[in-house]
This record gives sequence, C-alpha cells and structure tokens, in this order.
Amino acid sequence: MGSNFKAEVRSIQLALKGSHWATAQAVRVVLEEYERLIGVSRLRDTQRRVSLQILYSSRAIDSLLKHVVNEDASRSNRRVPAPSLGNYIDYIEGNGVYGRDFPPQLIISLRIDVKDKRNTYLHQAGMFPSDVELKRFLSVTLDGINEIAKIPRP
Amino acid sequence: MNQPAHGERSLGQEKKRVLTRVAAELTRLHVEDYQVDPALPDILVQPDLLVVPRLGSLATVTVARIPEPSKEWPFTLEIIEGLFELKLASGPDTVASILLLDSGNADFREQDAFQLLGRLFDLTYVLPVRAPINQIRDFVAQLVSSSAREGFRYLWDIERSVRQRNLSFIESRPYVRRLLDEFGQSTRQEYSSPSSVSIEELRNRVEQRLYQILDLSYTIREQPRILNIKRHFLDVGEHYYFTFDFLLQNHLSSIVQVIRGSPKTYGGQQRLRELAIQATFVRYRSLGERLRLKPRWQSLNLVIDGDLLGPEHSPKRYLRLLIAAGWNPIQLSELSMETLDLEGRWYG
Repeated sequence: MGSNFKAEVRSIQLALKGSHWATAQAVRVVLEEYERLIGVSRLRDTQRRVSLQILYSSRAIDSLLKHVVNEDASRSNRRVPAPSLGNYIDYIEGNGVYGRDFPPQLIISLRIDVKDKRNTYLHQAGMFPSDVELKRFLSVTLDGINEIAKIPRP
Repeated sequence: MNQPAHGERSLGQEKKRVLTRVAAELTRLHVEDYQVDPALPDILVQPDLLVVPRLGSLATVTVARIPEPSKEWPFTLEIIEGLFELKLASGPDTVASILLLDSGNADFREQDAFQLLGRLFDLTYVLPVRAPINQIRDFVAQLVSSSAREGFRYLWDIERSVRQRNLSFIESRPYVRRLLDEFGQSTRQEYSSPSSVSIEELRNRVEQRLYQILDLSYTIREQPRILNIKRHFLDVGEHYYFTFDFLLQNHLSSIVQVIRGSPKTYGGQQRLRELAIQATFVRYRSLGERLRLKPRWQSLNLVIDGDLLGPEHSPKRYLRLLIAAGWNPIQLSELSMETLDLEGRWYG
C-alpha cells in the first residue's frame, strides 16, 4: 500500500469529518477502522495483512451504509432493510439517499468488487485476493464512502 | 502553468512556502483537521489543501500564480474546470477557495477573467509576494468562516447528472467502448503519436475528410462562434463566444474540434481541461438569475491527432474527463460517419 493510498484514505477521513454525517457514531467507527487499516499496511505476513485490510474496509463501508440507509428509511417512512451489505446496496440503488442517486457504475462496483469479493475472501477458508482485486476492493470502498460524504445537507 | 522569470521563485517553491504558512496558522487556530496535498477521488488536479475547520464543514484551497496577460483566459478556464470537478467530487457544501499569488500582472484584477473566478469560487484571495503574516491570518480567518455559495447549488446538481449521463450515453457507443477498452489494456503503451503536420494542415485534412463522408444535406461552417455563459456571471453587456474549428449543420448541428499532441506534452493537460469547461459552458443558457440547460444543443466531436493515454495507474482518465464533459472522442485515422456524433443532445 503506497503513500498515495494513505493520502487517499486520509482525504476520505477528512471528507467524512467535514460532511454533515460527521457527528454520527457510525462515522467515528469508520474513521477508527481506517486508522486500523493504515496500521496493518506494514505487516510482513501478506495473508494476514490482506485479510485484515479486507476486514477493516468491509466493516467501514458496512457500518456507514447501515447508518445512512437506516436514517434515509426513517426519514422517508420506508421499511428498514434487514442488515446486510447486499440489502444496503439494493436499497440505495432503488431509493438513493436523500433523493440523490448513486452513479450506476458505483453500485455495480460495490456489488461485484466489494460485496462478492468480501463474501469470497472473508467467508471461505484459504482464499486470498490478488493484488489487483485488493486494490480494486479498497478503492471502491473509498469511492463508496466518498459518495456518502458528499451528499449535501437535506 | 507560468514559467518563472530568471531569479523568481518557481511556482512549486512559492506554493510550498505559502502552504507552510497557511498550515501553521490552521494549527494555531486549532482547526479540527487539515491535509496538505490531498488525494480526493475523481479529481485530476487536486486542491493544495483540504481543511476541516470544524466537524461537519469542509474547505479546500487551490494555490495558483496570477497568469501573464496572454494566458489569462486559458488559465481561468482550466481553474474553473478544476472547480467543477471539485464540487462534483466533494459535494456542493465544500467551500472552494482560490489563493492567487501576485505575479506583477496588476491588470488581472481588473479583467473579466478575474471577476469570473470571484463569482464562481466561494472565496478568492490575492496574496502579494512576501505577504505579511496578518494577510495570511486574514485569508485563513475568511477561509474557516466561509460557507459554500447557495446560489450555485442547482448548477452543481445539474452538472453532476449531465456528466453522469454523458458517460453512460457516450460510452454506450460501440466505437467509444472499443476506444476505452483499448485504453484499458495494460499492453497498450501508446495509442499513436501525433503526425508532424501543422495544426492548420491538420484542419484542412479534417475538412476534406468531412466533405468526403457527409452527404449534401450538410453545410460545413468554419470557425463557428458559439455563445457561452461567461456573461451570466459578469457585469458586462457583451456576449462571450468560443470559436471551434467546424460546425456541421443540417436540421441538427454538431461541433468538430481538432487537437493534436497528448497530455504528456507541455500544456497538453491544460488544453484538455480547457476543452472540458468549454463543452460545459456552451450547453447552458441564461434565464433570469439562473442558468438552464439548453433544451437541445450541439453534439461535440473531438478529432484527436496523437494519444490521450493517461498514466499507467489510470490510462482512461483524460478520455473520461472529455467524455463526461460531453465530447465524443475520435481518433483522426477513424473519422467516419460511424464515429461522428451528429445527433445533438436533448435534456428536458
């Protein structure tokens, strides 16, 4: 994980702190997860490092989407979906957040490059992502978090 | 951007010195957080500083040197494209500031270009050479207390959906998909080198080719002047126009612009960003206080002699910038009825 990735993570952390979600508990959790993510980047055991990177960034996007989806559902009197990353992505694809659609390409990437890969690498023993898959995973989770951070105040 | 005269500090050194002083002031004020040289997603030219003055508030600082007189408009258009990217990538609530370093071109502050920056950025500040500390403090105080202009929120929203639609619309064209796929192949190091002919000769060749491929229902106009929206932001009576290379007219009309070179050549990236904002500025019209999308406007074809390959980690970045802005990119050797976009655009 190069210095540019660390700069990207740091920028997303600032974007979240500067967003109107900043005071939510879920955002504090996401910021902490990304501190852990940066912390493991120097681990020499590659399998342990990539597993933890997938774990921390999955938990970050999962927690943030849960908060955002629950808040949007309660504001708009919609049913809160059962807790799962796939359900949160489906909800956002169908309803947007505060009436704001996510880019279709990002929805597709969240499903294929994050949800499916997470299911593979966190739920199946002995499976580890390639470098390309890992980079894509981390990059799409950051894009997803940034998309939420930039939603304007309702 | 500007080349420093002999004995002057380079822009990089000057920026670093100013950013160090601004950062020191942010630390003194105990702002929530800040980052020098941020890396926000989907921005080609990053701002120089990202600041969280307090939780729930985000600001950016872009530092630039005031250009010499002959480069005022290209400089301004490129900076404004950066502003559009920033607002779309970080949200309309982000306070976008520009800190202009004085270069001795005192007239710039009287120009329409400067006024345009002042109208569009949330904060525009001119800093003299060797600015005293109280001026740095004044800038930072204004930065941390500024808020994003409410009046342009609708513009960022419209532009966000237009650029999103442009990407899906233009990328759906088989020719553009093929071009994007080729750019995505790691084996492709270079699309093609620009030919050695002059730009005038290149335009002549493109014109001849257009006469060959278009039927008689089309009229080809050279150097068309297309109304843009600069006037909407300025206190001036005159209209502003962009001049493109060709306008193809039958019941619809299409712009054709010819460029040569690549993002790697000096000034290449600036030219692409200038083209992106030109495409944006011709699709709106002024309606009272607000801008509205024209119900129908010209499709924009960009004939490229050279390559648009981005860096290895992001080979499609320039192509996507131009496509999002509304350009239909065509490699010179592939100019044909199949690759030209002659349909116009409708957004209702």
